[in-house]
Amino acid sequence: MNQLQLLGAIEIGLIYSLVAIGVYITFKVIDFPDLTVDGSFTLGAAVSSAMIFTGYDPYLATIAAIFAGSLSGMVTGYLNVRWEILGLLAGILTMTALYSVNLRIMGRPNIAIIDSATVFKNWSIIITILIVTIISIFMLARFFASEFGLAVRAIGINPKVSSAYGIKVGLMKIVALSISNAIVALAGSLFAQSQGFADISMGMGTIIVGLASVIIGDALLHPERIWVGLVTCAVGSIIYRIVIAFALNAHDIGLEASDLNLITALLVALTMIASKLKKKKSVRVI
Amino acid sequence: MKKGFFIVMIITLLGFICPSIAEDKVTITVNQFVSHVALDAAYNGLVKSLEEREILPNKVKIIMANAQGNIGNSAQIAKHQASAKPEFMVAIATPSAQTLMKAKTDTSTLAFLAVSDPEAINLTNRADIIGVADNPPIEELIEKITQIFPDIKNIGVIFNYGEINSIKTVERLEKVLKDRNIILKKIAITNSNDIKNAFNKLIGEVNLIYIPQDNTVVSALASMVSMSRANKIPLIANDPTLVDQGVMMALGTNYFRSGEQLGNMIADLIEGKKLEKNIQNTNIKELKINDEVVKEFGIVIPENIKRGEN
Amino acid sequence: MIELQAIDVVFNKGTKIENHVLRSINLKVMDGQFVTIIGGNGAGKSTLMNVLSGNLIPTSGKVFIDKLDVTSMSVENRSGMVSRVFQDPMIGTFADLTIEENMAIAYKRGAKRSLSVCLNKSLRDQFKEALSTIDIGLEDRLKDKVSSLSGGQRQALSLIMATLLGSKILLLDEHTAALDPKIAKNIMQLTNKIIKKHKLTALMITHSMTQALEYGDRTIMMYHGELVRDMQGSERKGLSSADLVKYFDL
Repeated sequence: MNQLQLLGAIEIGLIYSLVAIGVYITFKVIDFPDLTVDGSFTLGAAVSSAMIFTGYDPYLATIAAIFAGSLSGMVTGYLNVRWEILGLLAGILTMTALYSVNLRIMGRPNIAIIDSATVFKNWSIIITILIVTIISIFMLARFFASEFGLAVRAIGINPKVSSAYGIKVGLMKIVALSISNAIVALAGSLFAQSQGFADISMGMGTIIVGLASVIIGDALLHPERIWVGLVTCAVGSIIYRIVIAFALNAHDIGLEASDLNLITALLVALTMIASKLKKKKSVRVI
Repeated sequence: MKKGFFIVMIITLLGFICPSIAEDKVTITVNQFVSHVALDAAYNGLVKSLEEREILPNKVKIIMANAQGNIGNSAQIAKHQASAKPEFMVAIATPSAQTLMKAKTDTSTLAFLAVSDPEAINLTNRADIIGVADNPPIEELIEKITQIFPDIKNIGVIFNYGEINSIKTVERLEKVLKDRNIILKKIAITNSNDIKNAFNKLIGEVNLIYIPQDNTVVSALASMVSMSRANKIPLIANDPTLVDQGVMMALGTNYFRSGEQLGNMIADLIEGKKLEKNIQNTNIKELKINDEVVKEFGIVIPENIKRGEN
Repeated sequence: MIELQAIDVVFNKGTKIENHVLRSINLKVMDGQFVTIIGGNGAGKSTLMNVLSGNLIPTSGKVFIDKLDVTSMSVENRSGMVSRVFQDPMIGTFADLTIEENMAIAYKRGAKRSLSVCLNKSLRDQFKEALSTIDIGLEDRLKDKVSSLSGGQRQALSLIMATLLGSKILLLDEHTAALDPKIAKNIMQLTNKIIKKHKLTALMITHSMTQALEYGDRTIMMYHGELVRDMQGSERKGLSSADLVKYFDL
């Protein structure tokens, strides 16, 4: 693998690390299986590219994407909290509805913004995304260290006792879903701007990539504190992309690397197994 | 946790240490967006023509990768392939063309297949971009249909309104049919699970169903064919490779032939010849009829069409 | 002062499985009283506690805490006035969080949670002081996860958490039932000490007749959803656990 390929893997890995962080907040922190992300990723891309195509400032377009993403999270939260629709189902409903919403926003299935000004006009893509990722992690770590953030964490661990201590479980859920999808939409927006286009089907498979990254990172690094957990998501995402990069080079040693999906599944399974073996070992020592 | 970090560092360092093996042949990379009959045929056609021109494997090396429908993979594949600065970077399908456009360096030539509206995605008027655009001969197909079914009044079409190729095709089809006072009944879907319901809506409403070059619809072709047979509604298309699978009749561009055409364009450039046009429409048209289906449905095909004349 | 007026709780009303769990309960508890609640299975003790905590809205009747009508107030909104220690030590705390994080959550019971940092030196000192009153070393383990604590330790922590801030009512739902006898005794003594020290109004459900009489200053007995006996003062002083058991044979 040459340096460019490694950098390419890191660049895509960093953008999708925001997806992993979003997935981490719902799946791990509040224990809510949120499938909205396939839709909110595209939503971020759609909003940003539609605005950039029309001539708006790209920074404004990116902020609009974050805002739109947070709204989509609120919808899922509202369906689950107010109408008691199963979390998994609520996310699917929002994701499905977003397909039509995104199409409306873009006006057509594909928008090309390759010649337009994006947030990457000043510095290199990798530096910009690295900065965005670091700032996001900082802000989230600070949020979870606050009284409010601790309350959000509490509902994912013990909703009944949370209520007993005055925490409004429903409200915390909606807040977490909102933040999560806002970050995923940011990822979508940055992806579209870095690639020069948005396509209605670009969200397909986002949840799988996000989950794989979270699982890989968790199995390798076993984070104890939450800010470490967030960094672990980024690490997992980048490692995932590096492994794919290795696979893409397999032809050098005579292998046909056409099945990236299989590689994803294998990588996730292997890291989970390795993690289990480690746990078993420590129990045997006692 | 320390062990984990160690593993991470090793993996990253390996990235720097293991170099790619240097090549002295011309490199052609292929970035295919997803696997299905038509796109696979395009790739096969490309390979075949390069072999026939005796460029592969002597003068040229092909590196192929499939994004399996995932845009993140497509983007990474694009960057990955571009890093080696190959002479030619082939994109099969619109999303691949777009990720490649962004990733490629000026020294590489982008060669696209299976894109029906190159202008919409800024592929036109560039010296470093060549390709074969889809231009299904819809008018000619309908002309032949009206000869076989002179009283036809309604034609149906199922398409994924999330595929830009399909939207354009349906627009053209509607216009062509309007000129002949035939009504087009359109059913839009978002994924292949909706096909059965969509087909049901057309039963009793249309005499014929047109299949566009739509990734979603084509991937569920078997389902459409069985419903077509059950309800005696013939299917027509512009892609002849679909006829073997149960489509009654198709006239037009064949992705395999498009692949061959692109292969020849690339071979020309390697041999130092100049291309007439960077972006060409598919030049070979083929009429294919499924005799079994024709017999089963009791359709009478006029002699001149059978003989391939106009 | 707690007042329950004609509280009725009916589950599945109007169906074949209609269950009248609480029947016209009237109860007044004065400030500072420590009431023990006994009764057989299905007598309605836990239901009564749930009506007080807000986990259950009664079918009819009213609940007043210090003259405020809280009958349909949610658990969260009532949490400033009511604190509770649950029966199962494994679920009464936040197992995946550290001791100090658990204390931080308890510290904001009934208050609005802001974006300020939830832990700092002064808060930690406060928590250490509160934890040191139970003398089992938890104050030196602030950064340990609660999942590493035993059942007895967790229950002790629950108790400190529930009484960290002043509350109008402390609800104890068989909170020593799942513990070993020796630890149960320790926790019970600790409970008594805290209630006396802060002069809390407390209600405790227990299956132990000894506990019911040894602690508190009033004992009420429930049977099939009704309050059948209410013993305090001299009447209660003379009772033995054997006497209470006899009362069960109605």
